Amino acid sequence: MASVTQSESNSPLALSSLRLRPWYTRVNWIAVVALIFIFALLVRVLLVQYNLWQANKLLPLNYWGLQIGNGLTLGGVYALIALGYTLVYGILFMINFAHGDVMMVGAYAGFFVLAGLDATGFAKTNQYLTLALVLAVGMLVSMITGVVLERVAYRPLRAAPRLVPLITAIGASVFLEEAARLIFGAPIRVYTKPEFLAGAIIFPGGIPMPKTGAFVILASIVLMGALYWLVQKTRTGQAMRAVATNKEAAALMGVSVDRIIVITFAIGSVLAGAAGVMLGFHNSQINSTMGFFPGIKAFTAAVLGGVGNIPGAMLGGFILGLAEALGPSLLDIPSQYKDVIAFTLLVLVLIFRPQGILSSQLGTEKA
Amino acid sequence: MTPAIRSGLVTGTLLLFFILIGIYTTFEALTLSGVWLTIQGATASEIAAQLPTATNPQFSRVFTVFAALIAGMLAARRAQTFAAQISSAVIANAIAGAMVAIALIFASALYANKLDVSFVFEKVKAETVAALLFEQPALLGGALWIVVFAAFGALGAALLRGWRALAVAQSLAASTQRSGLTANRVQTILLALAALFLVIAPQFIGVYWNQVLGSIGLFVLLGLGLNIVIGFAGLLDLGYVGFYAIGAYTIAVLTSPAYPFQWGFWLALPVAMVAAAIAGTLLGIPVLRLRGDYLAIVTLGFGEIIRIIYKFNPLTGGPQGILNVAPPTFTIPFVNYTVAFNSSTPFWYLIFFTCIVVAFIALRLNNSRLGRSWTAMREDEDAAEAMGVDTTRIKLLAFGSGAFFAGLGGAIYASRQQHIFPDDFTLLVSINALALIIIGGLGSIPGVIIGSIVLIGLPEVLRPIADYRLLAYAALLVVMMLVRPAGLIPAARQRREFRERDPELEVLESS
Repeated sequence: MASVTQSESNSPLALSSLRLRPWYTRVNWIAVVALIFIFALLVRVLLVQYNLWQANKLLPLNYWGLQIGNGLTLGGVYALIALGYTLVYGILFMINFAHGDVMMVGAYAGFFVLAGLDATGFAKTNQYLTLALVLAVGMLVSMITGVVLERVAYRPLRAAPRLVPLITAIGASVFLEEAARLIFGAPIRVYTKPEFLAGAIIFPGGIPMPKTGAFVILASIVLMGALYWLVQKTRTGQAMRAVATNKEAAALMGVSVDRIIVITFAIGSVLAGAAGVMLGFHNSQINSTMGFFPGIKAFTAAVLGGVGNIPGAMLGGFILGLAEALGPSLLDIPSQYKDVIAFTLLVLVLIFRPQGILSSQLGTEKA
Repeated sequence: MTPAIRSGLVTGTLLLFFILIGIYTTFEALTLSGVWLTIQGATASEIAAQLPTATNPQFSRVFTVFAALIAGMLAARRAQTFAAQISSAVIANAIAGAMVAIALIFASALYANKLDVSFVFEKVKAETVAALLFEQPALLGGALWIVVFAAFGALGAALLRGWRALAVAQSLAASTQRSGLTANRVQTILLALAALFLVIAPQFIGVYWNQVLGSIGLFVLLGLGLNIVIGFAGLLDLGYVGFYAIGAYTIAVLTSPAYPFQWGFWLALPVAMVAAAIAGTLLGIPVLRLRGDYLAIVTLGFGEIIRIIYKFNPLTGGPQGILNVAPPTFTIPFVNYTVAFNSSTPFWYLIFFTCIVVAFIALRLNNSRLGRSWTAMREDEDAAEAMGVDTTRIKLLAFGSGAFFAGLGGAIYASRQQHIFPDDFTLLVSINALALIIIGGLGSIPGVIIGSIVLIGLPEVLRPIADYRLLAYAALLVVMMLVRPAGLIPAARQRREFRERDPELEVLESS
């Protein structure tokens, strides 16, 4: 897909016509404005920090350490969700808009198991087992949701015009959100942390980090490692990569494309379910709209890293998490604006490097 | 798995879903007299005062019967002989009934063992379970479910058979008849009658219905604007609500006494529209190169950014929004009679005439050179560009003109409400507008009107079930895309487009 302004200069025909056009049409004004914007942001960061330094009010080191920890925690969650987007996009070329809400369903399922185990007293005596059970149920229920979604809403539309599955996905997202609100009720549900996850670890230098944060980072890295192994080293993973590269050829080689698509949805949803449970433990509260913003931001992370690229999604998630955690303090803006940071980042990436940081073949073709 | 069993499982799942989301509980609060009071314009508290609070199984029982009838019809529709129709309906409905029965028996057993099911499923209270089991012992109630559901399923199958026979007879009769009026003339007459009704009726139908009409009209306005961007140009813009917000906030800032400007409505209106159009064009620039899904997410992000900026910005009143937005005044020239916009009736006329103007503009735009360029771009961007269509320009024009009309809608909304809050402008407004143009038919102007009557008008009338509004929209979006992607009243071109396969995808799949 050729872009409107930039790639014209690759062909000799465009080059000759370039000389005839006045200079101001040859400049990519969008990029210029965006560059000026980035420059202004940098200047603002320097000015703010300089002023704070002058006034001797620089934020202490352990504050920054805490924020980096927060950023990595958020990043781990974003990365896990982003992997689901990337996997599905790599194969079906569609944004599974409802992915964030699949995560929410997992968080609810985990909550009910946790509440049940709490009520029977099981959770007090078997903390680790409880955590494992909550995670497992959250992942399982998310997986079922994702697979049902694919079967009911997406599969019949695989040959439809591009806009159609996208609208379906938006509908599915709102449907899941509303169904959860109506079925489970509107009030916030509170996750009770197991005792070993309460409190914070103090790192050298007096940097605190909530234990749940450390757990989220570790668990997300383990899961990502598992995914990477699955995709790169197993037969199923090989089939997934084959389908992503060329559906027809994969089908001719004996790969069942439908089965691989279902597996892809299942894997993506399992990761989302894990992310949902972790978010529940970390924020200690969940509600039916909790999937919306993380979902969109995870998409941003997937684009940031290069859509269709698995390490890219992980990298993008962590970058986005850090940008959100550090941005408000660096720029001295209220932390409510952190959502704005994510979207601005998305737009900037799409202007400068639409194929993402770790560009893949697919990302380049798409952009 | 035979079709009957499959159909029974689907029906059973749907029924369980309905029970979980509490449709039964809601229907028990719904009575015929309550609906009648709503139609007459009574408020919720008035209805509550006039009606006994005791629950009433009227509607929930009717709902069950209808569900059984329809499920029976659907299960029977494929079968050939009468016996096969009846048996498949009975099998399907017995399975569905059994699913519900098992779930209910299980739930009542849980309640009997002091386990609170409503902790997880909020709407499944102990009394709901009992009512659903017909206030009988669990096993008997469950058996009743299976029997009743299967019986009405059989009745549904029989009805389907009768209806089909009737339809055949009717089509035979119709083919021998000759109509004196052409379809076109009938349409014109109907349109004229509808317009006349809409002009005269607001004088008689009271405040409540005026407000409902006004809400429908506002969404028609929004839908017409969004239809330009999505239906004509094929750009899925989810940030549409942002321009609506810009229009509303501009007029609020310019006319509210909280700010130094205090302009009149008519002076501020064009400023609001132009501000929205400029914002639309500017935000269009960075997304020029994006297609389809990327565009949707980025515009969605923009819409949220606009809302967040308004929400956390002390200049625009923060989360409290802006109060006392001035309503317009209109002086009829020569007679010097001033119309005060102090009730919903004059606002309805304002909205009505704006809708007509905007619909006319949209119609003309669609048939213009620009409209044809949009169509070309929607069908195939690369081919359009090769044919000499300046896609950059027409994309920006689409974003700009869509935003222009959104700004108009926002401005009228703000002066009609007389106060605006940032949370009036969430993504859900965009989703509402999207749903109504999809359901009406992308690119079709009558479709927008029908869509907003169905989506905005109906929930107003059936207020007790208004809680399910968004869920129903979302389900409709999915179902429409699966069953009838061209919408209820499809535009001519879309009708063709959706019937064919997407050429781009075919190339993709074969490459």
